[in-house]
Order: sequence, then structure tokens, then C-alpha cells
Amino acid sequence: MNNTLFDRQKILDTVLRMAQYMAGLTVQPDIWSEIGNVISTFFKLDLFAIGERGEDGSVMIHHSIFSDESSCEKILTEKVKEFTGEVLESGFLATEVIPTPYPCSLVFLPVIQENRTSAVLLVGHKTSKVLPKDLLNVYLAVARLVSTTITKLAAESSLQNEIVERKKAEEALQKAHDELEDKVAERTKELTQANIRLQEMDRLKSVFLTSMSHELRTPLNSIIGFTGIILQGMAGEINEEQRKQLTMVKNSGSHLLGLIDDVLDISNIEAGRVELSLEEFGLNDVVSEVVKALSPAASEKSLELLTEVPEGITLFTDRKRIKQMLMNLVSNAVKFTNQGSVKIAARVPGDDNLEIRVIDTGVGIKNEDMNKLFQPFQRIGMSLTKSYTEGTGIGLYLTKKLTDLLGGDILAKSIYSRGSELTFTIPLRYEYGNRNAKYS
Amino acid sequence: MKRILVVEDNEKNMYLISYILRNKGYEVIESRTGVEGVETAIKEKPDLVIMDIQLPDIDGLEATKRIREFEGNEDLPIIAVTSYAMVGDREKVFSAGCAGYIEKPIKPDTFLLEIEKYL
Repeated sequence: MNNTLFDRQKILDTVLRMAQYMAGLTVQPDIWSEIGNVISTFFKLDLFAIGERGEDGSVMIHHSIFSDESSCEKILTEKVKEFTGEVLESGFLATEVIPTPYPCSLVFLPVIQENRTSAVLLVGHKTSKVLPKDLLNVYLAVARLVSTTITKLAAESSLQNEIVERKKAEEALQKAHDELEDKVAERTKELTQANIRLQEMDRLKSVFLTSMSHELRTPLNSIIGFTGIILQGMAGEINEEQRKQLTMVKNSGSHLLGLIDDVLDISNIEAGRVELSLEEFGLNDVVSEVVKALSPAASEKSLELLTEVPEGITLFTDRKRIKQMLMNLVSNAVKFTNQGSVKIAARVPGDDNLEIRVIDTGVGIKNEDMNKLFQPFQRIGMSLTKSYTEGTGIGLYLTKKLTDLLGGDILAKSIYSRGSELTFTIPLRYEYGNRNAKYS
Repeated sequence: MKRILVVEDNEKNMYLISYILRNKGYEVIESRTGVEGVETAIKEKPDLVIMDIQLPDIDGLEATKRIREFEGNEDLPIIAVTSYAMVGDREKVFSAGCAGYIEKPIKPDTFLLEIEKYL
């Protein structure tokens, strides 16, 4: 027995320094070997080993200093295996003296981790005497220190694992986020490009419609012009049959021209290329012109064409557009009325607005068709009209666009099979700024 | 007999307009380009000019400006013939110096009434 070991002060120093050293230990895979190194460095032990107890009861020997390894290792393994979890009241697993190959005094110390003996420390001195109580207490303290250290490191390790896991999760999340952002950016780019293509196609459509309309109009100039000359008798006398047939040519030409003009108007309005021509005029004159133009069509179907327009309503707006809107509404009403009447009724309900209603006793509009009424190329009620009804299905759409353009509104009411009433309201005096925002 | 200069590059339109005017007893002078129209207007001193807007060399607006610049032509009535729905045509023809405008297609009866307003 080494005297220095009983020097209390020295032992205290040793334990303290070892405690400090152990406190500085960090998480590492071979922690048992490291702890073994620490203990055997600070204490001059003749025999020393650590037996790690796996959860399945298996035993792993770390860092052994034995003079006769095989027998001591065997003793330790057995000790650990035999261990039932019971710790002696004094804190030891066992202390014993073995005689062979030379007398050794052994101490088995438990390392407790979460109420479980996770390892057994074997400390031994080459002596046949039982070790003094003081020294046993020092070893017991060392075992407790190891327990604390191991527990702390395990906690740190699981914390570190958790941090690593969390970092991994965060990285995965970040990656998913980045990928999503990339995807969004990609989609946005695709959409932007699609949008540019659509805009370009829209522009081409407008260009096409405009140039097409102009090209179609040129031959119509000759058709309408020359039939006009012949009908006027400028080129000589014509008989009644020739007059009748030429009138049909001229009317068809005018009809075709009207359709082309509608298409051109819509393409210009949609492209925002419309200029209004403002002037002051009387409503009565415009209504008279419309009635005069559509009377032949109305009398052909024996319809009454009535007006209810107060005298003296003057407007300051685009005369041509107002006439165009009225022409569209009234010719539509005539088209879809087989008996009865078509009436144009105007009034000025307040100070600022003109309200014009076109009322017919025609086929009417089904409720479910109401929302299609002002959509382009919708031809409602075709099945009801006995004869083929001429038109492109853009008349009401254009009228709606024109009302917007003049800062007004258009509404439809109808009782199916009884008649319809289309009402547009526009400012009496057009002012820049009261145009529908879309066109300003 | 009033003399009317018609500046128009489309043969069918030229024929149509000249026919209506001659039928009514006017003397018609024909020009088929803007430059020719300007030269003829200066040389022939017509009573009225009917000016198409789309012409092969200089357009009808430019031709009108050049005729107006020439001394003695300040009050010469120049009537533009425009296509329908040309953006800003109305303002453009007046600012170029035209006295009025007629929209295509030409309808013989209203066409003559319009012309007579300026003679």
C-alpha cells in the first residue's frame, strides 16, 4: 500500500483536478476509454478496468490495466454479468480479495446513469489486506463523479443529436423552401412569357381586324357606289324589277358594310384606339334618323315603330355613337319581334343623364340567357325566331362598349315570350373623365 | 361650268366619283398621286378639290398642305375622302386645311349635296 495514497491533502487535490478535467470532457465516441485514461492517469492503480453494461446485458471491457489480464477480465465480466442491480448500502457492488496469481484487493464500483448501472469500475491494489475505508470512500466519490460526467455527456450528446437533427430538418425545410421559390419563379417567368405572347397575339388580332376591315371595305365602295348610281337613274332608265333587285344588292352591301364597321369598331375600342367626336345636337333629330332608317324593316313585318321623345333634349356627346347605339338596339328589337310594336322612349330623370328605353313586344329573353346578352358572339333566342336572323352576335356587345365609352350604363329587362326592354343611360354632357376607366 | 379636281389612286373610285360629277355637268380633272394632284391644282386652278387620303406618294393631308401654301389657293375648297373609323381623321383633315370630309363608301345623292355646299 502506497503511503502517498493516504496523504489526504494529496488525494483531495487529485480528486479535484480529476473532477476539473472531467468537467472539461466533451462528447466523443470512445468516452469510456477517455474516462479510463483519466482515472488511471490521476491514480496510480495496480489494477483497473471498466466494464460497460449494454442494455441487453452484454459486457464490454474498456481500458484495462491488469497484470494478468485473462483472469481479471474474466472476474470483471462475471461480476458485471452477475450484477442484479443491487448496490450495497455502502455504495459498492463488492470488495474482495483474490488470492491468485498474487493477492489482490479488488473494489467493484457502480456507474449509475438514470437509475441504471451502466458500467462497473474495477479498481485493485496488489495487497492481501482489505483496503482502508478512507480510500474506499475516495473511489466511491470517483465512481459518482464518473456517473455524473457520463450522465451529463449523454444529455449533451442527445442535445447535440437533437441540434443536428433540427439543423438537418431546418436545412431540409430551407431546401424545400428554396425549391418552392425556384418553382414559383419559374412559373412566374412562364406566366409572364405567356402573357407577353397573349398581348402580342391580341395586338396581331387587332392589326389583322383593322387591315382586314379596310381591305373588305374597298370593293364595297364600288358595289354600293355603282348600285347607287344605277338606282338614281344616272346611267339610264331601269325597270321596276331591275330596281327591286339592285336595291337588294345595295341593301346587302350596306348590311355587310355595317358588320365590317362593327368589327372594326370593336377592335378599335378593345385596343383603346377610339376618339370621340363631340358636338351639341338635338336628340329628336337622331331618333328621327333612326326611325327613318328602320321603318322599312318594321313595316315589312307589320310592326309599329313608336317614339316617346320629349321636345328639346339637347346633348353634348358623340352623335354618331349615339345613333349607332340606337340603330343597334332598335334593329335588334325589330329583328326579334314578330308582331306588335317597337318603341323608343326617352326621358331626363335628373339633371345630368339621359335615359333611353327601347321596348318591344317580341320573343323576349330567357332568364338563363340574360348574362350572355352583352357577351360577344352570343346569339340568343335563335331557335324562337322562325326565319334566319341576320347578325354576327356583336351588336349588343358593341352597344355595351359604346355606352361604357360615353360614360353610361346599359340594362336589360325581359319577360320571356312577352317582350324586352333595353335601357341605356348616358350623361347629357360628355366630360373627359366620365368615360369608363378602362378607356381613359 | 365648275371645274373639279379629283385626286384618287383607285381606278374604280375615280371612275365612280368622276361619273357622278360629270353626270351632274361638272368638268372633272383627274390626278392619281399626291404630287400630281398638287401640280394640277396649281396649274389648273379648279373650283374645288376632292382629295383621297391614302395615296401612293404623299398622302392627301400633305398634298392639301402644299396646295394651301400656294398663293391664291387660300380659299380653295378641298374636301377629304376618308375611310371609316380612321383614328383622329376628323381632327387631322381639318388641321391639314381641308374644308370638309366625306366618308367612304360614296353614296351618289348625299355626295352631290355635300359638294354643292362648297361651290
